[in-house]
Amino acid sequence: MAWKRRSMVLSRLSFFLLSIFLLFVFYILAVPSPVLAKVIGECVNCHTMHNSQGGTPMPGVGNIPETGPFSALTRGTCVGCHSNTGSATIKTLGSSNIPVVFNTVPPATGTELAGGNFYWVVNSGESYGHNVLTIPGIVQDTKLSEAPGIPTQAQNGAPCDGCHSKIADCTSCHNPYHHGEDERPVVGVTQKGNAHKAVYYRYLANGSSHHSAGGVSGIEDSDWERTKSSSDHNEYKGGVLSTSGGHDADRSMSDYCGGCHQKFHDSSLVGTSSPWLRHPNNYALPAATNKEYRLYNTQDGTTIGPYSTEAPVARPVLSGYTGPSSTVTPGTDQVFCLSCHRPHGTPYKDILRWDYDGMIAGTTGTTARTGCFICHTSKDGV
Amino acid sequence: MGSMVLAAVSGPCVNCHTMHNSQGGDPMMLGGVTGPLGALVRSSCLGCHTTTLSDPLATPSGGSGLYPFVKSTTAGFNDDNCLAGGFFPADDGTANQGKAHSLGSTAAPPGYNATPDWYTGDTNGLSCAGTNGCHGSQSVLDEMGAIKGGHHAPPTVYRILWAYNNGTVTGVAGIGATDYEKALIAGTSAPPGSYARSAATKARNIYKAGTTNDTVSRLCANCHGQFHSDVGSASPWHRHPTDVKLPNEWTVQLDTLETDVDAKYNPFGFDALVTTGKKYATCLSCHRAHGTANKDLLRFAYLTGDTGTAAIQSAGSGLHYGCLGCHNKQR
Repeated sequence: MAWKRRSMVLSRLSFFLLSIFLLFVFYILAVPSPVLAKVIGECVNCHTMHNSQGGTPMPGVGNIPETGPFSALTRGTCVGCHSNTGSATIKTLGSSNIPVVFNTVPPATGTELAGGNFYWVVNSGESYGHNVLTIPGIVQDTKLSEAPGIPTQAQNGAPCDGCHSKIADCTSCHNPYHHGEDERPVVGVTQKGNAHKAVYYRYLANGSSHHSAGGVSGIEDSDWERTKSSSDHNEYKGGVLSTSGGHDADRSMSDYCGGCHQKFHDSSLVGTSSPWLRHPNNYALPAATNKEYRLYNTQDGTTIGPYSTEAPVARPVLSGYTGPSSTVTPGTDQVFCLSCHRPHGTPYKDILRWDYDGMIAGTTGTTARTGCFICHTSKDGV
Repeated sequence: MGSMVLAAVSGPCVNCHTMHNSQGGDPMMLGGVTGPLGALVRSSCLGCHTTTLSDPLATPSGGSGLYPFVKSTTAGFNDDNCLAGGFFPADDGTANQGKAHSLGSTAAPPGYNATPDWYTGDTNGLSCAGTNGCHGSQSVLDEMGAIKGGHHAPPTVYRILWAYNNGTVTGVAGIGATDYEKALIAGTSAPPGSYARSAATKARNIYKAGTTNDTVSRLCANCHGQFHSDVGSASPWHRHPTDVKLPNEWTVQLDTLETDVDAKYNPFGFDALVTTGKKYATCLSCHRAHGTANKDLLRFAYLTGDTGTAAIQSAGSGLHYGCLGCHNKQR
């Protein structure tokens, strides 16, 4: 009987251990491995300790001519590393993948990253992107002496215009804490580390001591939307309009844009649905059955379509999201700044995602169900 | 762990000295060296501090006492078998280029900016001591004259080293391991990831760091001054800082332990020469002075293709030594 009891004990123990093992395997398979935003890879890919190798300055890894030493012991400036003389929009250094935001030749068709490309500013003109002055070929805008919709506090030489009136370099928008701790899947939910070194979505963080620390939340697509679909994309954070916008209070993308374009984000200046004075942002697509937006991105004219990477929406609440979703919910999901624009540069004026001049109401042509008509589904001719 | 006062050389005078460089009509030099040499020695620095075997701290044939060797003619040294200062390669060929100070080279030292200009190795070739080298006086050309008193009198400076400080000569401070870290280097392996931190148990050097003129990094600055002075500031650094305290909030600063792994792969400097103090970055936190199996004389593999025994430093790799021994956020 003793051996029989022992056998039963062993059997139960084995079953228990097997269960634990299977649960572990299931967890590993079911829970996607987080793709970290922070840089990984060999230190030597990006850094040089003394900017000296064999008695000469360390060769840079960037694709524009520039001479070090550079801040943070890097082997190039921001644009130096994030540029490419080829058409590829992701380049590889050792085991590190680097997103390219400035190609000196046309970016490979269909592979431009979510933020856009400064190629268009250099080659098409100043209205095709943000004029970041450290990018070779980009100069101060000939028409705009300050950001359209600039906050009053930064207008006409006001104290804040030092930061808000021009885009001196990439750090005008980005706080590039490449090795900062970030959490997955939603980046920038809780502030980690030093206030001005916390990691936010795409390093979009307030790096100024003049503002309370804050930045943008979001889910970062693993290849920066070089490949994209309705189920493979960034997830953007929505929020609210406010009269004090531009201070990252709700960690929304549009509020961040409002840091310079505040009047386009100010609830007192944008208006309301009756009537809007400026295009709304951080505003839910109306779900009412008599509204065209309930058919967002429709493919058949009668049912709502999936998430559109051409005219994306923002989610007012990202908690609960474990990754990109193809579902869009009118009444909840919002139109926001990046529904229509890309921040770096595009082939279209006003950094739009499409040619505004090509948006022809009543069209049944190739632009039907594209661009503006992805949301304004009743305005084209189909 | 070590003492400032290391044992002075002992043993029969004839082991190292010859009065006339003549015995039975023949010269008395050793190691193929041509004499006579200063201080009546029978060989050059490397002549005495080179072995044909693989033990970096041993008694040579016909000698007495333990000699610290910095070169093995049979390639017997590597990153796990050498002394604290590292080693010169047995073969000075292309494969080992950049892994050690290039003795005999007339190249200008990278980052050289000394005023007044004291270095003569760009004419005479880099050597061990004097105005052509690192050890001893930086105002005496003859190597033996430069290190005079360093072998017999109890040393008052660390490893017969003085910092030039643009004309204000200061002896380098430090505490040397009595076995020149032979046991530490041989008995410590690079862990593949994190490891249980516990206090170092093997004898190790303690390097002087800080704002005074007697730091070991000041010595390196004799030749590589730009890398010590033209580094920017904390916001932002342009070159890797030395003689700078690690930030208080970094993990290594919060953990006051110095482990055997740290001592071998990323030793800290201390301003009061006690390892319970705040940790500093020094030149020797990353480099060994003579040479290693890695390019740029690094204690760890940094460049692709480094042949050292440690894995290449890589953000996200989970390593806890080398660059990542201090830069915990990049692990």
